[in-house]
Amino acid sequence: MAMLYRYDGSFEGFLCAVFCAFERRDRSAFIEAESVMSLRWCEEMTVATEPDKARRVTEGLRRLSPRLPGTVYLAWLSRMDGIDDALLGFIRLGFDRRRDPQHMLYNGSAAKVMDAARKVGGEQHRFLQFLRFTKALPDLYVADIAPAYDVLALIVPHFAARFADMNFIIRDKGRRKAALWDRTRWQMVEGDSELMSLPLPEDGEIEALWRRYFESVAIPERKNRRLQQRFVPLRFRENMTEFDKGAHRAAGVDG
Amino acid sequence: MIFSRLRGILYPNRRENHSCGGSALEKLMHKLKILGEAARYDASCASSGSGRQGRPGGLGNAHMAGICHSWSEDGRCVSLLKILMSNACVYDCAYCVNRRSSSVPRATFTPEEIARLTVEFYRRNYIEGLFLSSGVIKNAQYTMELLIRAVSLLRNQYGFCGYIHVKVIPGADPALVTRLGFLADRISVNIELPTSQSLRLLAPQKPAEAILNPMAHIRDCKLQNAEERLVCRHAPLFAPGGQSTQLIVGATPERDRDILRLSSRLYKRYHLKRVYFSAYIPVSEHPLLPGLGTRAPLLREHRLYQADWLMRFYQFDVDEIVDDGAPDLDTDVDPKCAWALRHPELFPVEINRADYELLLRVPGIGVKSARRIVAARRGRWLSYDELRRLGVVLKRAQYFITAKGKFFGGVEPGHPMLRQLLSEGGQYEQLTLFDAPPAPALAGTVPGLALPAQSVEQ
Repeated sequence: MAMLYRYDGSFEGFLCAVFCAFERRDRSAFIEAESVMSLRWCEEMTVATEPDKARRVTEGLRRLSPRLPGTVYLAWLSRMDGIDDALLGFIRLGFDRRRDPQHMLYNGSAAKVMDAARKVGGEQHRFLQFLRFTKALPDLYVADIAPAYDVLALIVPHFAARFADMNFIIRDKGRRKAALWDRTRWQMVEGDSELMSLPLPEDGEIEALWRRYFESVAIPERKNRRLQQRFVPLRFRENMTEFDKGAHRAAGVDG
Repeated sequence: MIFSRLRGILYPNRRENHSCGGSALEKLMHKLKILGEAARYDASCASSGSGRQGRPGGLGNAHMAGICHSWSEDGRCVSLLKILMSNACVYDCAYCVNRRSSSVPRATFTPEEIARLTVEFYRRNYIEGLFLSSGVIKNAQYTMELLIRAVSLLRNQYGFCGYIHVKVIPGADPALVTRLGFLADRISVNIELPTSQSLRLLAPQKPAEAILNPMAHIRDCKLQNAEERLVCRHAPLFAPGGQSTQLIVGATPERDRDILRLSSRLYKRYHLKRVYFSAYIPVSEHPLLPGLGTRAPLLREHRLYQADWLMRFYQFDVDEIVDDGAPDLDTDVDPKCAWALRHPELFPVEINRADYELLLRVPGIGVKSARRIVAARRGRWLSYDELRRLGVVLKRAQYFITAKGKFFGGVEPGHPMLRQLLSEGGQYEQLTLFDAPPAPALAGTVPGLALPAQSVEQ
């Protein structure tokens, strides 16, 4: 009978579940987080999270290809339906063939995993592009984001390297998470706190200047709002300085 | 109608001129509008090609692939703060909004203003950096020195390590170009018009040598810098993002062939990273230029970019794309399709055997798909269905490939109807059962796949 491996919901926990399935040479395994209610008809077992086992899986993946652990992490972050099982199939494919499974897109699991990783990677890049800081206090910048996937931890290193000389907070209000950079290190804060409720100030001079500039660069003879919307979908505009707040709810594109 | 639009361009902020109360912010707003509008006809906005590292605890770095931060209403990306230092130009180039005889309002930024704006915008993640250009104030040397002052203020006083792209003023001293190269990530000289004859007619103050000499100088500096960095890897970088240029399409009678041959020469001889094309938008009545009502040749610009991509990423030679027999690009189909239609003898290619270079030449298969195919077929012999699963778009490719020896396109390469099926012009012919469909040569027989006659769309 098939076995369902339950993990604690963390990425490390997931890797331990993979480890467990391999250790037991279980080829009809399913993996699921504890918080998920499934209707699968099979035996269950809860896997304890042990950093050492997680590390061994990561190392094994790295031996197949240096970029493989990163892909697995991105795909896991997508939290798509059935992604945990697809990931198990994907990892198994790699170890069975002793080859980088990232190229085996003809395989259903691999195609699903690569698609999920591509989507999460795309979302990550979108926030490198569209995140906007506001000066909330004389020495503190704040940005709000509302990503479709949980990419907060992925984007912070980019901003920490770039804005090493300023204090900033990036908040994902929907997931009630915030990342803090204090010029030396960054940390995640989860749950409600003062940070989450700190209001953003009204737009100031720099915001007005930026909007003025943004209007001036568009060439009227080449107006093409459909193209613009393809690049900046409406869902990102809520938190972007150059677009009117709430305008994305107005009726669709006219040009 | 045209007149009112024109007034919008020429006198963009007459009302604000009167209401300008003198506050610093209002002045800055005013300048930003004028000089942003003046710079917007420059096509380049790339922030790629430079991996400049930030200083520990400092401000800014460059992202190798570049980052676009927004898209304006015309669908063009906003990556850099693209402004002119000044639009008060002493030259009188007929095609330019900022020519001396034009009646646009004039403004000039101080180097301090430019540096502050850049840093404030950068800190809020609006931009990747600065793209600074300028009209010619007094003369080329003077203008270049002002540009250098602004950029060195940014780099040295503000410690800014983000992306900086600066235009070289044609005719500037080579020593100034060298200094600029060590401050900026990319420097560029605009060639503007495709032939020296057109330049002579429309931009009499800019001889072709004033444009090509700095290009050669930048190339030589970059080659020398590469050698220095081999010896000492901490040697200062000279324009790590390379150089680019721009030329205006549709202002003068040159054909696509002339433009593409020129850009091919620029890539080969001057090691340019990019050649940008800018569809000419009429800004003045001039006997040698298209009249004010003429629409910008946007489709032509698009086709030129497609051809440019073929030369840069698809290993096409310029003579394969255009030749004296067909001096202009086909507007109905993209240049790669056009090439494939001219060479039916090479197709269909077997997806499991064709080498990478040949895969790249199949219409509809891009660099990404070709790489995926090459990587995936190492493990197995790919079928048509698996090809689809790789994410290869088969809309155009189906007519030019076989998978496991089977052809699924229905219409063979070389068939006269193929051109119509591939054309983007929107002139489709409705197919009926009674039009004798072309006999599929190697029809697919795998169950579950669309029969050839049905797979022909529209």
